[in-house]
Amino acid sequence: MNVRSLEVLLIEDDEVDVMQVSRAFRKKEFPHRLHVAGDGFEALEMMRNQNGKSVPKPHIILLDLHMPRMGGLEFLRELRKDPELSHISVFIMTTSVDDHDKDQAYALNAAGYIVKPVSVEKFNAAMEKLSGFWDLIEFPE
Amino acid sequence: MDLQAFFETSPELLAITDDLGRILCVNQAWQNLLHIAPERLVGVSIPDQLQGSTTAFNGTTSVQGRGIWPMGDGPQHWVDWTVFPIKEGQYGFTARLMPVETDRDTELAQLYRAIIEHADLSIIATDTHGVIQTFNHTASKLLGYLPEEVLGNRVPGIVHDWNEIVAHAENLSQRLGKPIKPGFEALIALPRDLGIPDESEWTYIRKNGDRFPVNLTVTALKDGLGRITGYIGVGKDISALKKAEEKIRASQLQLENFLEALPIGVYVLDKEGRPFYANQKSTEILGKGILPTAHKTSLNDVYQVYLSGTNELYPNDDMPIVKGLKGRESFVSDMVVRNGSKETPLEVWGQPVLDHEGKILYSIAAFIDVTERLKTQKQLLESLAKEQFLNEELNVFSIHLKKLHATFTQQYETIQEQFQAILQTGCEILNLSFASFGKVEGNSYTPQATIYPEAFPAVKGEQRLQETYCEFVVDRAKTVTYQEFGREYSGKVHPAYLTYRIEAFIGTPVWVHGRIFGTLSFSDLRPRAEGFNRHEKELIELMGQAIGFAIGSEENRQELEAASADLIASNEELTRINEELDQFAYVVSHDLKAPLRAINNISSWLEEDLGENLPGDSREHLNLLRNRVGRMDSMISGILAYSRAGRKKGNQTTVAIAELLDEVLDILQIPHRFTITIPANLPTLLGDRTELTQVFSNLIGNAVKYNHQAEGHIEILYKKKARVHRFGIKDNGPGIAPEYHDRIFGVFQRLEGRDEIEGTGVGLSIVRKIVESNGGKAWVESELGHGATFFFTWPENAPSITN
Repeated sequence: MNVRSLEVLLIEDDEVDVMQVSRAFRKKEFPHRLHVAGDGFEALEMMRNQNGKSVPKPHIILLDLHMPRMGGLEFLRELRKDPELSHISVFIMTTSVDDHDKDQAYALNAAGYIVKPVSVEKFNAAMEKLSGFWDLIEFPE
Repeated sequence: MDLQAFFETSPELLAITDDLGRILCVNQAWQNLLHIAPERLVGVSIPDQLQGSTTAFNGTTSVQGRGIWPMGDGPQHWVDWTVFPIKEGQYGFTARLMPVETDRDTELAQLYRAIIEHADLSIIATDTHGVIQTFNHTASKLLGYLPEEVLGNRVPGIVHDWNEIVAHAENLSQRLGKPIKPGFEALIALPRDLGIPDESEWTYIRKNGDRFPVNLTVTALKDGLGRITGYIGVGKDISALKKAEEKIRASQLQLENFLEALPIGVYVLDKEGRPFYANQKSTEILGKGILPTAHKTSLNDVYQVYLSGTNELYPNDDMPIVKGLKGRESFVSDMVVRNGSKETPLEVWGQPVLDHEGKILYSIAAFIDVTERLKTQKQLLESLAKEQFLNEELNVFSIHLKKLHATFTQQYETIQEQFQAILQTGCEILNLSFASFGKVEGNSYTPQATIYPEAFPAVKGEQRLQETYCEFVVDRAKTVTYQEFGREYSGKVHPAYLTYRIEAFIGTPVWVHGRIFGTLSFSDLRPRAEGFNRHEKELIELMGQAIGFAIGSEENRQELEAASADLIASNEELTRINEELDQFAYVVSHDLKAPLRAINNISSWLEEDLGENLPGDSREHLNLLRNRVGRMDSMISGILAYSRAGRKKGNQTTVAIAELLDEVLDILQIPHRFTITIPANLPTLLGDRTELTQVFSNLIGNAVKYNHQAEGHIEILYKKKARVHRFGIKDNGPGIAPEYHDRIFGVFQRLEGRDEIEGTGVGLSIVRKIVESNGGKAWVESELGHGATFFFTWPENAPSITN
């Protein structure tokens, strides 16, 4: 098992949801490095080293759909347009069960669409599975 | 010489008289021939006996004569006598009887007698005293007397009517100036005194009393000296004649009556051309009878006869009556008679009247007053002409109608084209140059389509209604016509007339949806002498109707389009709202739920982080916290579900309810303590599968959830009612009190405590919402303690709100 450390960018506006993810990472002792952007704009700035923000190019983006300013799918579109960034795997993590959102996400080449479980345990378990999944993937450099 | 013997034996009658003619002596011949004894003759005066012989005895020479011997009664003979003087105081007298006459006399007498006897006339001869001497056979036959009975009788007494005698006598008295006695004298007075025959009509009386009329001519019989010797009355029985005369008179009277009664005027001229007869009708027709001035050469002037249709007197020679005098039949019908102011048209036939030799006796004209006939003829012709005219009018009308129909039924690209076509056709069939269809709004008139001949300034834009004749059309709200406006309009000079001089005009209102939209009018500068007939008015009204209808339809169409557009817009709006709502609901629910998640998470983390340090109560509190959060979460989901329910319809598909129920029961995972009864006759209906699933799911779910019986029974009921499927879910749960039957369908209305039953609280309200959005109803029938049956109806053809 290749336990490697991935750069994970979480794009999420809800503070508590961020905490939920980071707690899960901590609880499960993920080796991955978690970066957080408040919304799509910030994420792009960070990835493009703009406006004094920078982030190492992420292997994985965890994307929430419901965000102000730029919605998740909109961000995804923008991402796919950018040749530098379009290859990045994006996992949608959302409360939305809307089929339409899901379809759109996959149409934009989302790597996965995860509906956030309600309970904490379930959430943590899901994160663990996700991480396990990431271990299997060969990411482009 | 024996002179004595010679004297005695001479066969001639010899006598010697004195100078007064008195016989002195006679010879024997008197005895032999006349059978008169000599003794009786001596002293007889010859002049007394022999008429005309008196003067012979005065002379000195011999005088000869012829006469009848003797005068008076007794046998008489014709003698040739000579008287000669012998000597002073003595005359000689010789007389020779007509010896030849004797035979001849006899023969002649016989002949005469025969003639008299058998003449077809009644011959009665009397002597001078009226004693019948002769009574011939005819007289006898006619009067019924035998000659023996009357010979020797006086005449009048027997056969005449005494009154007639008296009257005749009076008459003659007057005429002759001296009294005439009634009697024989009355009969013979004329021939006796005036020497003329008395020709009169008398009534003879037969022996048997019968009377018959005779024409009697009485003449005097005279001797050679002209002395009356008797009278002879020759009578002709004129009874037949009289009858014939009577007949003729009667028939003449009849004829006269007939002629007088004839409703035909009869006027007769004699062969000299003088008026002979005119009947009553003729006088009536001509206004005049026979006038003294009337003659074949003056008829036209006298009777004021003219040539029909002129002021010329009718030429006399051309008149049928005058032509008739020339022997020609003819007929004319061009004659009129003027009587004052009255003019009488006549038809006249003229005909000559000929005698048996073919000579013209009269000319007769028959004529009739043909005023009535001419009038009737005229009326008939007029009505025929009128009929013909009407027929023609009708023909023309029918042609125009066909033309109009063709114009109406053609297809046009635009309504404007249609108007123009109608105007064009109108001009043609009405034979007017100008046409205009204009919209009228208040006081304004705006032409929509017009036809103006070239070179005429066309009026295009809006005008004041009062500047056109259409104002009258709008005012009166009916078809208005003018033949010659300038002459007919009595008001002030009209602006349209002043400017355009339009004389002929026909206009009609155009009605759209019960109001006057505008007017259709045709006009011309020329006056329309013949006016506008009923048909033309009908035609323009038809055109007006067609235009009105087209506009109405157009308005309808536009309204429909607008309504459609509105509807589409509404629909679109509705869809948009729905989507917005969905979006809103979704976003709202998401945004509402987010904090709940956070609360849940944080409470969990607290628990986690604090671990054993967390007091039991606190742990309990945190649980409660999470519980309430969960409730809220579920309510938010319920609201979202409720808001979605029944709004956006998915596909309407045929759904087999039996199958659907199986699915639902499967999903619901009903505890084993429940028995579910499903009827066999469940239908297949049209609807949104999701919705139906939701309904059944909610109701059956409720039936399970609220039932705490050890043995739960759930029965599915189904009945097809008219046009509607009625489903029922019956349970043996606790039942519901009637006052809550309606409330429970409200949102978040619970009967059980919040803590006791899990659920969104919107299940029933969703059921009702879905059902009602499909046109059905949802209700409950229940009593406390006796279970509940929830019903809902699903229409046969469920309506869809948005599609």
